[in-house]
Amino acid sequence: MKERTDRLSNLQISFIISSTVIGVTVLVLPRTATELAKSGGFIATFVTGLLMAFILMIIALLARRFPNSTIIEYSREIIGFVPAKILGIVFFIYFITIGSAILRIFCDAVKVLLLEQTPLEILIITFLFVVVYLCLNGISSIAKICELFEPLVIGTMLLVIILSFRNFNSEELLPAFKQDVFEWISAIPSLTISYLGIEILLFAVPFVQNPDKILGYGLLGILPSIIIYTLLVAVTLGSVGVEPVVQSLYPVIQLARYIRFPGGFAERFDIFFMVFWILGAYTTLSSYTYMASVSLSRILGLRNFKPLSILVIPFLYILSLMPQNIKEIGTFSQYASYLGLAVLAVLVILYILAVIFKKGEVKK
Amino acid sequence: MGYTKNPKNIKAMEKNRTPQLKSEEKVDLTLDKSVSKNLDKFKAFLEESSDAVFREFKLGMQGIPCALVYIDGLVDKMLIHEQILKPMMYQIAILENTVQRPIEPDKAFDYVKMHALAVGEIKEAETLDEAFLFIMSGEVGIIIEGFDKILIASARGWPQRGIQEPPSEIVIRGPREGFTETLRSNTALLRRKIRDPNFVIKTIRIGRRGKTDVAYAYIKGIANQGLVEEVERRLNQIDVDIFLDSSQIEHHIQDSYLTIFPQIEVSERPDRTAASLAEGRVAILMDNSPYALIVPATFYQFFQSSEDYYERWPLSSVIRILRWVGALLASLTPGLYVAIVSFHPGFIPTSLAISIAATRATVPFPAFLEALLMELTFELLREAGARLPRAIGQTIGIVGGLIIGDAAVRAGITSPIMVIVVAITAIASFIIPSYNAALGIRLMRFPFIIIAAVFGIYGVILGFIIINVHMVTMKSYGVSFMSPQAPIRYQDWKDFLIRLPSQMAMRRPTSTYPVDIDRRDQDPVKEDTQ
Repeated sequence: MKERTDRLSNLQISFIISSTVIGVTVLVLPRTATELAKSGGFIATFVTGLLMAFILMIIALLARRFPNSTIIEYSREIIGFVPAKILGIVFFIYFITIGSAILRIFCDAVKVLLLEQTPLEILIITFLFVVVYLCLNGISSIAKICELFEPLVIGTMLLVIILSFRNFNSEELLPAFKQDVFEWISAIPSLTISYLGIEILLFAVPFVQNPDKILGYGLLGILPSIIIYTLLVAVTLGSVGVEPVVQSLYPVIQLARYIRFPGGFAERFDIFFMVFWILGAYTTLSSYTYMASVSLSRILGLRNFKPLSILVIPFLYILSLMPQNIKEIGTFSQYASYLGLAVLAVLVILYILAVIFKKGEVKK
Repeated sequence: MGYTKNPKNIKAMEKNRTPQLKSEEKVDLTLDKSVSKNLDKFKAFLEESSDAVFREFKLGMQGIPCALVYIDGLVDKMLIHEQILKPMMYQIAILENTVQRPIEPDKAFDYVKMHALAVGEIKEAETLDEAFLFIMSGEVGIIIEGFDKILIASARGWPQRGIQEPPSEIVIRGPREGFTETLRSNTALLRRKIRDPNFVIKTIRIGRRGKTDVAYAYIKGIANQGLVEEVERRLNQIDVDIFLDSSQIEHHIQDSYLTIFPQIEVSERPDRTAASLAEGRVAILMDNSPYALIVPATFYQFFQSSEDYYERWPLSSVIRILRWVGALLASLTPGLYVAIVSFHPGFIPTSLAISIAATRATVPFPAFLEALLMELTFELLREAGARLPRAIGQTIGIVGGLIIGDAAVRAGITSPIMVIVVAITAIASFIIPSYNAALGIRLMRFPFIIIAAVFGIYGVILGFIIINVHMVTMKSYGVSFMSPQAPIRYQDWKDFLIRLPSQMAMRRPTSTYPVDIDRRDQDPVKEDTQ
């Protein structure tokens, strides 16, 4: 048959967003949420989700104005050549930072929970190669992999949530309703990292069949993450308890360990959870590597991003090995999260500027 | 065979390696008006072949010189005697005698064609080349004095296997006929199922020397024209001298050779082929091969059997899911065993972990080596049994499965759990209906064992990811290999993991981009006239 252009369907956009968002940080999410918001962590997660959905709307509106190019190219139209180049470099740094942060969190968790003897470097480099293998095949393959893996990832997380209801103690959550609103808001900047990934929309839109509908399908993409995150934080708080969650390294693993598989088939649910969590981590990191290599290629004015995705490997590798211990990883990911929030803010400003200066196509 | 040792003979052979008839341009391929000269031209090529038959005779009362050329063994001799030779030599003479009007020699060609030959299919050949093509396919060349063209009468008839139940795709319920090695009977089997004049069977010849007939069939108005053109394009670019089986054509027209998965569906069953045609696919049939190639293929097709459509839908749906479980077990079980035993014994219940450890206490090898050894033994047994006569094959099964398995456990070479793992893998791998897909899936467990030995369950997941990435990047004739799951096409899910009742699946799968999406007759003109 004649070569069919590999356009993404609208549903694939939803899948690609949801699998980029849901990923590595699920493992530590309840701790991040609880550290500042205490028992109101689940509300803070929900509020962050709503905020992110709002930002996603703006990103979708921005991307819809320029349906044929990526952010790196059309930012030139809005803010001029030199600022756009600088913005492009900021984007690249941002993707590399987030990418290496999640890569490090991921490999650390794998090392701690599955492979204690294996050196971290080996874990990082093997995972990177598997990630780049997918990136080299372009966004349509990434979308297809998301379609294959995302049901498994979401299904397992829902299973964990459902099976944990038995251990659920609602009293742990009650203090949340006496809290100050400010406590929830204070947790938002650190929680942002869990919702990052919605920027993939900016890079996917040039390949979409029908860019008019991305707003709805984009929101459909972030919906699962809001629901699952909120439920997961609530269930973890309810069954593990606020203090143990803050103390615990991987609270969700803690949660999964409490689960008794019906029938005693498998002793430890946490390994079962880990298996599918790896799939989620894979899609997330693939998206970031893709975005990093595409933005680098656009900065350099190249059409082909594929050689650059190999070039991105050393960046990710070196940066992910920078933090020396768990504490530094925490700080690193926190700064990555702040950077993400800043980039999202820049996107909102870009959209406002685009509206003011009437750039791009305007849909009725 | 002493001559091969004789250096003189070898030198002579090497000298003669330049092919005499390599370039056919040197030979005069035009036909002459004289029978004897034409015969000489044929004999120049065929004299050394013992199966070529040249029969000279005289036509009718006036005795116009004629000759028959055919290949013995490819023709139906009774037909030649009764319907070609008898009318031309004898009955025409009687006719001429009764009407008292001898045939004019310059009209003999048309006269023979119109009045003498009681054969259904008559063609004319203008050149020697053309004539050879027909004669080599089992038709009879009739040379008549005074004409520089040859009459070709179809009298094909050669020993062929009868239509039998296809051994590779056995069903309990459903038609029991399978394709044979004769193209014509295969196309007839298809035509009997689809009597629509829009069902097109086109034939081309492939192979410079083999000149094998290759037919591609599709239903006009369902199959996408782009797909048909792509099939034509790929078939026409093949340039190999001899083809022996359709699998060799498959190798030339598939999308990528860098994969363990087949990208073209293969079937011996006319019903399955016809069903694929009705979904807008194109079937490629080859003379001499009982296997039809069906394009495009998706991964999920290899998990469907034609019986799924003959049994009740809930039952066939359950069986389909069972095949998926089988595929996962066949490829992953040994890898998971190695990973769990050597890295994560905590994953399984403690009592089971202890009993595994207890049975493994006497085994001198690490789990990795044990698994590799046992799986290798199984593959040896399977391969040894596969090509043996059935009676001996059973012996292999008993010796291999029962005696070796039991003795290996008793001797402490392997643990009973490992024997169970191997047995599960073996049985699970045979549940996949498509043999060539099952082979790839089954062999995948060796890389999984190795990666599990290095990275444990994390390695198994990495392997799973790599396989999946490989599969989503594959395409078969422009169709994504993993559709309808990636990219998701929910319309096609009615006949995917489960099979919904036929009444609910009235639309054709969209993966093949059929022209006509609906199976029902929705022609508004027809509805008006009713």
